[in-house]
Amino acid sequence: MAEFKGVVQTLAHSYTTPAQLAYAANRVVYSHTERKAFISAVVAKLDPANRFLTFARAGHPPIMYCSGDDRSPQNLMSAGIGIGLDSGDTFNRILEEKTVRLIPGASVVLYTDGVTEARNAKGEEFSEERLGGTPASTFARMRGEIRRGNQGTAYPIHYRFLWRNATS
Amino acid sequence: MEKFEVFRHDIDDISVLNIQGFLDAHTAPDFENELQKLLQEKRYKIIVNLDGLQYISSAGLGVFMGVIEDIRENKGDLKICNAGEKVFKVFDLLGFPSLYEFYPTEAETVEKFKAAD
Repeated sequence: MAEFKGVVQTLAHSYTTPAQLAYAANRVVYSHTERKAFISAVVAKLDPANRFLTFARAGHPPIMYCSGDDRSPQNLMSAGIGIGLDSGDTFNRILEEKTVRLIPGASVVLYTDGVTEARNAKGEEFSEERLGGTPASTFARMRGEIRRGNQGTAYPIHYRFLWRNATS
Repeated sequence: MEKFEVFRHDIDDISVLNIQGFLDAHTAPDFENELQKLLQEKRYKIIVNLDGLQYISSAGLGVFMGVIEDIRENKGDLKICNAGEKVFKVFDLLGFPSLYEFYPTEAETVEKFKAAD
């Protein structure tokens, strides 16, 4: 994870779009890791002034988009395969870049499968279904369950959970 | 530790590995060993039947990637069948259907191999 973060931070200086950055990251990872290693990632670029989010999904769980009203969150999907699974021909051909315009008050949530696949002491997965509601409520639910770690009901997970709220 | 089992049967020059249970970092070496045995026997037409697979982690997915180049360089292939909805979702999210052929049944997968002969 730390090594990949370094790769992305380095490449981000040279590439301006999420897809271009993902192509380059795939080339680096494919040529420097053993064949059974791969990484899933969402590469996203936020333009806060105009409220545009441009993203490319490389085998990662979808972005959760919450419009800020009472509607349920939507999954933002795009075609793509994991980084390091292919030398580049298939990866570049399939990877799709999408742009969405965030309405005022909307949020986007990026999370890893460490969240949805986390299991508690009973072997129950946190699951995608429990990601529903607002980002704040989901985050609070997760944090609350993690805090109860000593009571046998927690989801002892390593996870990344990031949400960003678009202001008007 | 969750249970994991591999059962093998051969149909002419095609080998079928039926994997059952939980394929994760703990059990991935068992699956990898079975695949390596096939490669040592120079059997490069392989079907992995996921009928009894309940869970697969990234370590399990890595096993597929670890052998595929060797198999295809020897004019073979590894095809996958009988993935349940939950297990297929894991493969699908990572884009595996762009890299491997998936079929609903073992019989259909065998036919695909035979049709390519």
